[in-house]
Amino acid sequence: MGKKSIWAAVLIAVCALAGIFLLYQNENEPEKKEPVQIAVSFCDTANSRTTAIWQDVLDSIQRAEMSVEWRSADADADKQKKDVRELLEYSPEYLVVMPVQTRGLEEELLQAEAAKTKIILLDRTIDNFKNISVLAEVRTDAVWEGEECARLLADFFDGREGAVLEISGENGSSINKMHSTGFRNRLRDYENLEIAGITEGGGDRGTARNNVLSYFLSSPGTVNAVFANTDEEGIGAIDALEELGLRGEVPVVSINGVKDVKNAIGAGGYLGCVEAVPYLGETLMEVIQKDQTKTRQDDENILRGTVYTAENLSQMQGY
Amino acid sequence: MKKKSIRDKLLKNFSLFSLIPVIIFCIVMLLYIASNVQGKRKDSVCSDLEHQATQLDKVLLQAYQIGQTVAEDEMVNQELAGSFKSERQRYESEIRLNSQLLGISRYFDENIKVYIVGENGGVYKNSPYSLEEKEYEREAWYEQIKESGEPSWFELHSMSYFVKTEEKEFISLGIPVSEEKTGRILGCVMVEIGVFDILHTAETQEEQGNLYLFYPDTNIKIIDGQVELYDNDRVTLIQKDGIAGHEQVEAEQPEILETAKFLTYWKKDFQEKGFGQVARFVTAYQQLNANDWILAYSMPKVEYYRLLISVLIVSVLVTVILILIAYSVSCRVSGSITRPILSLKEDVEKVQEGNFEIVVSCESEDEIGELAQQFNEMVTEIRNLMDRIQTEHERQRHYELLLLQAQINPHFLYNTLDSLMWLIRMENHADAEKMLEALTRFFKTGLNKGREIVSVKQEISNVESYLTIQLMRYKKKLSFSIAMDEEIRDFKVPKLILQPLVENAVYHGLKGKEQGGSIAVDCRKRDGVIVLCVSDDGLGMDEEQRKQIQKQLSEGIVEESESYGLTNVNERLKFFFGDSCTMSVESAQNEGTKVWIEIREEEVYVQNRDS
Repeated sequence: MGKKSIWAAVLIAVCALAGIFLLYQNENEPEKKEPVQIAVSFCDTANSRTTAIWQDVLDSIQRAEMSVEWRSADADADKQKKDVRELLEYSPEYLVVMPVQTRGLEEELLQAEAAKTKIILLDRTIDNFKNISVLAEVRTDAVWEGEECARLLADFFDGREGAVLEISGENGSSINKMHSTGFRNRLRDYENLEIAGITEGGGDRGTARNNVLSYFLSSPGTVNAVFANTDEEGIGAIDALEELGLRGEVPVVSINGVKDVKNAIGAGGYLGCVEAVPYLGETLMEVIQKDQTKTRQDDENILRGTVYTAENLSQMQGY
Repeated sequence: MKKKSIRDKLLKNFSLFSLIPVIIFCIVMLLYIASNVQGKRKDSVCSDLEHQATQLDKVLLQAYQIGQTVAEDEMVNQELAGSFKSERQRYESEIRLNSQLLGISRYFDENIKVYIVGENGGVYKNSPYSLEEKEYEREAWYEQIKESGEPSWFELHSMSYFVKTEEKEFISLGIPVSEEKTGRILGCVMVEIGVFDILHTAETQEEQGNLYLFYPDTNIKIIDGQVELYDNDRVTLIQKDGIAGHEQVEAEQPEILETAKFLTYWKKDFQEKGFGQVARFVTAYQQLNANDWILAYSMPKVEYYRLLISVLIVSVLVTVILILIAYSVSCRVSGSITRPILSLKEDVEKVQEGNFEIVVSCESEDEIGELAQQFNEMVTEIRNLMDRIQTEHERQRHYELLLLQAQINPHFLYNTLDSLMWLIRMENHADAEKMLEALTRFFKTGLNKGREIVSVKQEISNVESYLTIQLMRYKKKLSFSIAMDEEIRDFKVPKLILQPLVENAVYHGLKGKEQGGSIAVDCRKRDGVIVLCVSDDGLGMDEEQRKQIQKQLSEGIVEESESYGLTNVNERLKFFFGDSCTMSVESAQNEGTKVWIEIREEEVYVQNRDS
């Protein structure tokens, strides 16, 4: 074997090895994602409202025949960061975010902005987005919803003394902060009503039920009304009151308007609820279409629902 | 027969000693890696599946216990036994039971959701999702539970029977609730278990295989030796993007169905529990304790052995590269050893052809380098020797010529013949005869039949003839004496070594001295040294001249000068005797000159014997 053929063989072997190495590298490299038009990061799909939002948004996008990639953060702020980063790999034109918390996503949103992806906030908002360019917000009027809950209780007590237990809602969520703000602002108008206590609901009926039970057992007779930031917590509260034998004596008001609340209002003891419309998909698509046609649009697209009590329960659809 | 070169032999040996260990090492490593990699691969597949099956089993067993507990609960029986006169009553009933269900929810897995459907129209749940609006008591699954009167497992389904949720992949367990006294069916408890997280682990997402749930009938049917899958035996394929039901599997992936058939008969066909190979599939499986379902993981053999194949390819390539490198190194090493040898061989051949100008260039500092250096030195030595021989040869010829010239010195001959003519004219026939006789003897001893070596006696005879002639020419000015030890008379010397000394004594010593002088030739042996001395009492020479001549003699310089006779004799003696012979001159202005030739007899003997 001549020198040339030896070197040729070595060269072929080295090339083959390099080929295998590159193949291995390619296998390990993240797969190049097919670009999509819309990427949606949902905060969770753990209850009727968030599920209804999830379904309505995806249906609306499908109807508009636009491509979509979505993630659900399971109410985990860290997972949502990861979700957004993953979604940005699809190079979406629009990033629709339903933030788990008001803070913490800044870096990812700046990354999206740098990638020229237009950001739309859905259902919830974030703090300090002065430095982040947000195309629009699509949400319900959460402050108004809180105010309406206060009004419902004021009407119920009609000047009588009322001590309210507030179930604080999902920790860190903008929507619950706004509910609380609206409720408290409006409550100042009624001297007979006061917030006697606050307990955590965590946005789910199990936690709310247990915390309300604990509160009533540890501080009996200190409250005579419950304001729940969400229907889930309201249902938890009504279950707790049922356990305590107080259903009907202690009125419960909440925000959202799910079917279970409709049943609870029908069963009595549940004073009413303020609907937070979950059908945001259509408005979202209008925002996107306006942007695509360069039509002038509002920064905030705020929807208001209906206040349901036993009196207009038949009109309530629930979701 | 073709000669085998050193390079070939070295290459063969290097190759054998380097390639064999490389190949053996690679084969051993390959076998080790192969068994290790595949063993780990199998363990990984089996343990992942076992983990999934354990998780699934655990949650199914818990669901079963919950379902049974709820179905037997007194309050549940009470709520289902009652009838509702108004919607409000129904809502109140739901609030009561939902509250109870929510209360017990915290004690079980969050993926388990309990629903109760009553014959009275009540529907109860612990789920946070809103119930879909439909008549549950008319659903097929409800009818099935009601009909069987026994707890029933419902195969993996992608949508909840009750609520709309993003979650997908549920296994449901239906347990009838009957009135204790009458046995009347009051409704049923449906436990829905969300199993997506259990079935879609990170490991299974990365793999290219298929996970499936097989719901075998308790009766195995074998027709003509073939395991038949009953209509009741069903399979659900769990894919990354969702599930495929039995009909879809049957239509699109019959090989999965084929594997499922074997699983029915797994105890017989699979030698290893929990793992086996069917057709072109590798299958790991675990039977669930909760409901005898089989959770199986099946992947094409190609996929199963993919890692091993990759390892094999890489190993083979590495082996080939190692072999090539080893061979290349062997070539280089053997080449580096043989290259100087071959170069040396070529140079030796050139030297053999007569080219002594060759200089072997070898940069290596090993034995071959030394050999090349020694070869170069040897060639240089031979070249010098040959040059010396040639020089000596040329010089010899030159001496012979000079000798011949000396022998037929025309002046000497002319003078001698002129003296003879005058002796004859003066009719001094006796002297003429004597001179002629001396001349004849001079030439006879000088020619010596062409032989170069004469005895001291012959040399003395030659000198005597010469001096006899000169004596007859310079009667009044010259006298001479010759003495010789008998002991050295046969000692061999080059011819004509004394005559030039005597001639010098005549022409440079005595001829210019008005009153004349004498010449003495003395040949003796003293202390093993043969001493030949030619002395005269002529003009002599100054010290400077003597030193110059002595220097010429010591350094062996031969010059065409007045001292040419001396240096000529010195050179011939050196050529003949080497260093065992020395020549020296003693002289003093107006006192005369002595020229000594000393020959160490013993060394001459040894030299003569060797030659």
